[in-house]
Amino acid sequence: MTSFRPNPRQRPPYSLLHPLFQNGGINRSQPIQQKNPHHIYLLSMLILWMIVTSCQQSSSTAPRWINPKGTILLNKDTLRFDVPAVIWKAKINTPVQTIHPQIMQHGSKLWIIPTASQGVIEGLSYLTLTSEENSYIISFQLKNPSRSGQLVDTRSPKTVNTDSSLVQQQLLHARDSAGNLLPLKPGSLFEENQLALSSLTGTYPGMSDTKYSSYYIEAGTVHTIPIKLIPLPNQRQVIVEAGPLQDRVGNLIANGTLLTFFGEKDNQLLHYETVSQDAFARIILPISEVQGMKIHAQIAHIESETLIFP
Amino acid sequence: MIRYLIPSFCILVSLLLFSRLQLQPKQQEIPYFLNYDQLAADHQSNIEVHVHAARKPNEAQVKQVLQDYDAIWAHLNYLYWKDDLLPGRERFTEQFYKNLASNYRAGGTGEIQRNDLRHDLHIINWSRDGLACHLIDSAAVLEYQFPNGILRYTEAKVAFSLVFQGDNWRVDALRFLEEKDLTAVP
Repeated sequence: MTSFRPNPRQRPPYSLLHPLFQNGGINRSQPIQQKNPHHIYLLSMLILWMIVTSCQQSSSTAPRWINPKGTILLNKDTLRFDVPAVIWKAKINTPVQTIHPQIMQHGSKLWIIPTASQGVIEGLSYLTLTSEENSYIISFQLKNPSRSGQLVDTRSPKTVNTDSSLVQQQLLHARDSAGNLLPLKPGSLFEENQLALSSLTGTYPGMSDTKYSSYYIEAGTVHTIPIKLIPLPNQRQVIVEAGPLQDRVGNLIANGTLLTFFGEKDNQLLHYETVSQDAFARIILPISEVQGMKIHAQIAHIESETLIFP
Repeated sequence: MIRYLIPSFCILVSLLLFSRLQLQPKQQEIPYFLNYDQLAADHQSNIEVHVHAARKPNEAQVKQVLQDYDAIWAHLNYLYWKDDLLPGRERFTEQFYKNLASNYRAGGTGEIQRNDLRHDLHIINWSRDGLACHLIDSAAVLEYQFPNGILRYTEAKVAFSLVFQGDNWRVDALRFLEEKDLTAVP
């Protein structure tokens, strides 16, 4: 049952025969139901008016929808009308925007084909047929012809560190090219999952190839720092090397990680900063400087063992 | 001779400067942060919110999503009526907007107006980073105003997928699950 309420603000030059929501019929629900003490007089006037209008030319009649349907498929169904032989225009208010259907008219025959290249947001839609004198509105459910779509996989957080629990939230929904949500399974448009991720670093595409779905697993903080001293063949220098630098699950830590070598010699504390490259960090020192030095490496709070150069 | 040369030079320089000014492209679009959304500011709907998400948004996040949901309806209604895409472009994702643009034809303003009167909003899922959410509006009361003054009231169940981009929530996808007539005028 529809509920209509006349709006006193607007009384435009639209036809009183306004077949809203009916298949080309006439909406007569309101005036007849009103209680009026002079209802007999009004009824007589109405009958008189009906007799007069029935004698008029067919040009004043409303368009008649020949093939009425509750649901219309976009780009597929054709709405056929018998109309007064004047030029008609048409547009369709879909739930989000107005589209302009294809119109073909031959005399009193009118064909309307709702078209939109990429589809529309489906739902209650209104076709407005307009001639120079009148305007008629018809409602129906408008649907896209196909329901193929794309899964949208949104991960949160997008970047996961192996220091974390490696659990990621996944939000899933599916959409078609027009932006309609599609059911993932009967009765369900959305899904949320908690996923346990692999501990292997990398960039992963997710379940759908959308911008939202990619996620990244990065190495965590270094777990242990192996350190060694490698004398160079020239006998004058020595390489102090820390590495391979790995996180707790064996991933190589990121290039550019700051590593500090601390040396202690003759009650003097020295420190040398460098960055890791391919999981190794190195400095080259003169042997004379390193001799008798206690040296260890440190990244954040993780320290290596202490070496003493003989 | 010199008394003609100097004024001529001044005139030439003035002409040059004037022509340079004329050539400067007029900056029609103001920066994003200076945009003021008048449509959203003028729109106020009655929204009741319920949070069902396993990961619950905080109070500030709920306030933001409510404010933006209200603005989204302001723009959906304006688009419905005027078929003007530009004012609402910050309220839709790029993919959603692209499809609207592909259906757009200039000069086709609508004649039916739609207003949203009430919403019963359920936050179904909320992402941990607060950048995506799934919503179901279980009872959106809509008023359609037709050119002859007739009003039609419906209650719609609408599902939304929103993402937070830029400074506000945007519609990435939606579905009118059902829309039925209201038997009584709200």
